[in-house]
Amino acid sequence: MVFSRLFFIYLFFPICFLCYFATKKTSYRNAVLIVFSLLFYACGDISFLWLVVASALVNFVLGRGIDKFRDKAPAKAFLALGLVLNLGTLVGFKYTGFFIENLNNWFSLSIPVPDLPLPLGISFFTFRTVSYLIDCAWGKVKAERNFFTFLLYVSFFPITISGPIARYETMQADLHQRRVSADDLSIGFGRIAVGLSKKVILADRLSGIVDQFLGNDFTTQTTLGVWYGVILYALQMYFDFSGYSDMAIGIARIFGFHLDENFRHPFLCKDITEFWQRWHISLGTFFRDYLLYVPLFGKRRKIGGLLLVWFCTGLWHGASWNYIIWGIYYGLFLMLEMGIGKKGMKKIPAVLRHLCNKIVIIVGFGIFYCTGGIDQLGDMLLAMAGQNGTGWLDTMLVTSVQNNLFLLMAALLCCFPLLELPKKIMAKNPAANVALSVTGTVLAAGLLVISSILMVDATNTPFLYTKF
Amino acid sequence: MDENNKPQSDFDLDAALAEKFQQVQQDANRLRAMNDNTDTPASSPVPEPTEVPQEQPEPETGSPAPEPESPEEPAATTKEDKAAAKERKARYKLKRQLLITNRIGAVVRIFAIGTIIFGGSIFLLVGTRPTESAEENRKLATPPGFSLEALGSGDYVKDLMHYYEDTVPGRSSFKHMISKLESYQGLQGEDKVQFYGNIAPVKKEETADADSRTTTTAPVASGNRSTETTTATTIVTEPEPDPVEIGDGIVLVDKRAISIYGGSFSRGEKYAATLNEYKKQLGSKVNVYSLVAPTAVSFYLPDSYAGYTGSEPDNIDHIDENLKDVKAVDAYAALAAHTDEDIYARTDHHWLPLGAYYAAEAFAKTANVSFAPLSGYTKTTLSGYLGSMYTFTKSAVLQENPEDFTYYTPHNQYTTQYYDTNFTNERDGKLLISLDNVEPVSWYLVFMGGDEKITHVKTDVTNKRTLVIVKDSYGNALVPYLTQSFSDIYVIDMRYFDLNAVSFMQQVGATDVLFAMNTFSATGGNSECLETIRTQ
Repeated sequence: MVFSRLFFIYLFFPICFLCYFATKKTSYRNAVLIVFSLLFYACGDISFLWLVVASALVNFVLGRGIDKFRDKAPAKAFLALGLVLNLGTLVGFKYTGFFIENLNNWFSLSIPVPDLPLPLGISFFTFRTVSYLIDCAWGKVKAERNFFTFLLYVSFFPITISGPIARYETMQADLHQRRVSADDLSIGFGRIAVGLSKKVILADRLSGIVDQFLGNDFTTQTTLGVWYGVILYALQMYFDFSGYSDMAIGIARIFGFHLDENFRHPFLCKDITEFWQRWHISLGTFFRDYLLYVPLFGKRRKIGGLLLVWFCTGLWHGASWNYIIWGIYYGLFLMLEMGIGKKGMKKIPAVLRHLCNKIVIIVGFGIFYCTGGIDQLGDMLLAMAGQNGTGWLDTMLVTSVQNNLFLLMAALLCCFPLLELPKKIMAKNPAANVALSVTGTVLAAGLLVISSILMVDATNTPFLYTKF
Repeated sequence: MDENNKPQSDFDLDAALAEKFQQVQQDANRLRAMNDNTDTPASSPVPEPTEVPQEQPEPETGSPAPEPESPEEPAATTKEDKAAAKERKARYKLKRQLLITNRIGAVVRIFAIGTIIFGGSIFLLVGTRPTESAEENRKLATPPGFSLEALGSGDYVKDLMHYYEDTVPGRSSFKHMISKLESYQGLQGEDKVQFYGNIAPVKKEETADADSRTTTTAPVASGNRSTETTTATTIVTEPEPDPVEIGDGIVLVDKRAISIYGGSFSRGEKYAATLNEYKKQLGSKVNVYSLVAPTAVSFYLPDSYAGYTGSEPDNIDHIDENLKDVKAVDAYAALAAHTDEDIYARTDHHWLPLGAYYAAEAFAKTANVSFAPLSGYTKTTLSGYLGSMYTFTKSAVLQENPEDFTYYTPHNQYTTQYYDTNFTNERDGKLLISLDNVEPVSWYLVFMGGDEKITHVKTDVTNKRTLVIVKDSYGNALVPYLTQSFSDIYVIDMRYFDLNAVSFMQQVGATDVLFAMNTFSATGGNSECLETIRTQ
């Protein structure tokens, strides 16, 4: 099940809401959330529900073990075991086929390639359990003492299948004691409306245009047509994923959980380093905190760690070479920026910096799109470089821009922090506060209604990040 | 977006206000004391509060983030103190107002969004759920049957979700709203061209020629058959892609939705080879004809979009060149002469009955049989036709511009029998069914009520010629016009036929066999059915 379905918004969520607020004690409320979280997962992929529960059980025991033997050898053994089990499960399900395919290709072998199904959300809940074990080992958090509380942490439905990769440290306090204020509800509902509209009104509409321009052979598409398609794909990815994150944060907030932001207007970045501080923040911080400074590379750990992080970031997104190339591509640009240094970067005119990083980001999304293999990626890059012999512009592009002009303008506009100015005004003037608050509510309600109508026609448009 | 998500304790407005009030009172007392005795420093009767409440309203609610107050200064004794106290008072007042307005805003938002969500839930639970969709011409999902097995496999929940979402109360109205909403995505007026689905510039298929290399994708939409010559030998350098089906890619232009044609010479060659086999098996006494009908894309797509479609005339020509002893019916030329008439539907992928009439006339000439003029038919016109292209596109332009559907009933005497697709279960049928209770989207079903049957029409014509029509849905519209040309007509659909077609043709004593279908079928997946029914 995904958030952008009528079944979720108008049946699952309201029932969960009523059950949750029918109880008062945190322990009962946790029980309600566990039941609905498991139901939510079962609706999406009942065959691997056991894996979520098993993951919670194993990591709970390992966490307790680490806590009990803190600073002693067994703690390290528990941590090592936890990492092997968690990452082994992830690698086993997600990458076995990919590895064997490549082994077969490289060494002319004929090892049968298993067709393993990918458990829903495994990349997300595995990283959350890994962060928990490492934090336990580093003493950043105390191991959870109640299994059911930990089960809720692992299975919490707003974030199980598509993130954000919320850490135990962030959720610990709320898991044990929380109260829901009117502000929590108001913010939560607002985030749901905004997130849903990002997905249904923007991302899903952009998706159709992206398919028109990137869904066919790149050798027949014009240069500007490919650029247009890739730019819209970048916007689609942003609104799809940030829309999901908004909804996840909003739903969690309604139940009293305060999750960290996962996106901060990434396309406003001044350089690539800043882009990754604004895009999928929970993944970036995970790798930064747990992988960047792993002492694997001795004196060259800065560069080695960076490349490892970006190799892993790419691979995390999927078992496909284009993701790995995409990760290393970003790693190289980050190294370049590191080499230039902060002072050096500041000397570059702002316009040029913005232009350069946007080109890098757009090409990056192009690489990300090409799951069809190296040939497809090559065709796309040739087309973007104007080297496929199809010309720059055609009627279809002009028509598409014309037909979708308002959608494109809305999408570009929504990349900016539109709410900042109203917030500042509201903070100073009670009259403006009332007017803008009412306006915001009307807008949120309108967006929710429009999204709901559009959902009647969009019964099967999953969030893109659920497949990672 | 919310960027301040730190946990906060539950907020108590009353306590906060009480505290503010207390501070204001203290300031008032100090001011009063100063007024009473300006020489004596005022002392506070109660301990000074040292801080303001720490509750920070969230930025998303539009609330301010009030600065924490510094501890109170000693009682005001100077003008500066007075001014500071006044300023503090004003700040308290502002904060109190903001706190109240924030809380009101939050409550209003909870009420508004909550009403939509819970109201929507109730509407979806108690509203009358439709069972079929006229626009989409299909039955909607039914409630899933419960079983432990289905529950365990996840099928039950998936089917339940599908049922819940497929049968939304008021579905039809919502679909219309979606069409309208989508038309606001950009400049999409009736005079604007729009693309739907998968459309890309056509990769030109090169043919081998000793002297020159020509492309087979000639400019179309001129209304004239291309004069370009192509050779019969095709170089296939890449694996054959999946054929383009009707509805895969649509261009909406001049209130007409046109399905973009893919075309495939190699598939056309297979089609021709199959018909040649039919002719070989049926022998010289049976005339075999091929009528490949062009679609609207050949006549109504503006030249500027010609690069996105394959050429139907080139593909038809290529098929005809590969036929041996099978007579080609030039439907293209017959239709090209009447493009200013209503020969193709604007809102449906079919031709209109009038278009079929001209194609049937071309066939009658080729078959050398008599053919009645249009005056020999009763004309019936229905308004409000909104066909399959609306289902594909959900275009507001089409929705607001439905068309007329005119069909022609022959005057001569005939009887119609229907059979199952294995030629059993004979029953009386109608060549042209009543459309009284048929949704506009399905009006093309007027011809024999659809495809999944075998139809036998016995006419009052005495030429003892028996025609078997092997067709797709385009062929249905030909049948009424041939009732004045053949004694017996058998109609079989290549997609729904369970017998060996050659044996069937021999069994019914066919003197003429007409393969009638559109270009998408002849050079697409449907043509494979011809070989299947020949060999099954």
